[in-house]
Amino acid sequence: MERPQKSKRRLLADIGKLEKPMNLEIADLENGITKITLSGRLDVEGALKIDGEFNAIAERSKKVLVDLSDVTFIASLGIRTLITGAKATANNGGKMVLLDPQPNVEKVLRTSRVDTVMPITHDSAAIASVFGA
Amino acid sequence: MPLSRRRSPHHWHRIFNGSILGISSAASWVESIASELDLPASQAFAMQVCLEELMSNIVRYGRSPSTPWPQIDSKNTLSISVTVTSLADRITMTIEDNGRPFDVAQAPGKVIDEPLCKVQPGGLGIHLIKSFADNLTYSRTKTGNRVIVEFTD
Repeated sequence: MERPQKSKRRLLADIGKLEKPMNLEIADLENGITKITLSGRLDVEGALKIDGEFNAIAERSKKVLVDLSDVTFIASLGIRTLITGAKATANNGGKMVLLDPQPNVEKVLRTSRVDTVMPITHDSAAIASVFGA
Repeated sequence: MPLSRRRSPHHWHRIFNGSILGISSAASWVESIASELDLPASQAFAMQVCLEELMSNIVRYGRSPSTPWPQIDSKNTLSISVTVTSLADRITMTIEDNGRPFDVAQAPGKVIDEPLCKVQPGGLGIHLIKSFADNLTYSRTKTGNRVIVEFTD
């Protein structure tokens, strides 16, 4: 008897592997802005993976732009990572700004009122003004 | 082809280790069920939020070295049972664990309500669960806790 074919999604679920593990990339932009691009799921596993590097960047930068456009999910521990980083940047006299979160991720951020302590913007052309440059 | 929600209820059930890997495995599994049911993205996302936060609470606080809960055996094995049921007008997700008692339905939620310099990171999960679930019920079981989360159409 021929065994039924499993979908890729089902196979991934069976072996407990998420399709997009968390990833972090850094780039220096104009006006002294450090851009951190996150991609994947900012869940418990994702937050633990990037915590150290994210905070190290946040501590040494004064203008931190966090691109969330490729983040597909965020949990409270992911928010904790963002808040801890934003506090580190603020302690250094700086500011952290969140860029272009997907609608569901933005709903989590606004439900938790993250937007009251760090700006969320979808206008990448106006980043400098958000930082007050 | 997606399952028809108009048919008789469908059930999915699995048991996961009370660990970070267990949370990731459960998230993938529930995502595959949402895909199979062709749920709206917002509903699938809400299920993911509640699953992640509930399991995260169990893994982080379900066992405590200072006050071990007797239902966890000598190897300190924490396990989490997840059952997803698809009904005509809603999805229910039942999460049972053998950890220390914790009534998530009665626990107060927290949001960020202070300036950044005063905010203590963390503790936002319960508010997220209550915000993304349409209904949340808790009961004690002989071996631990049962939480039933509902997501209506």
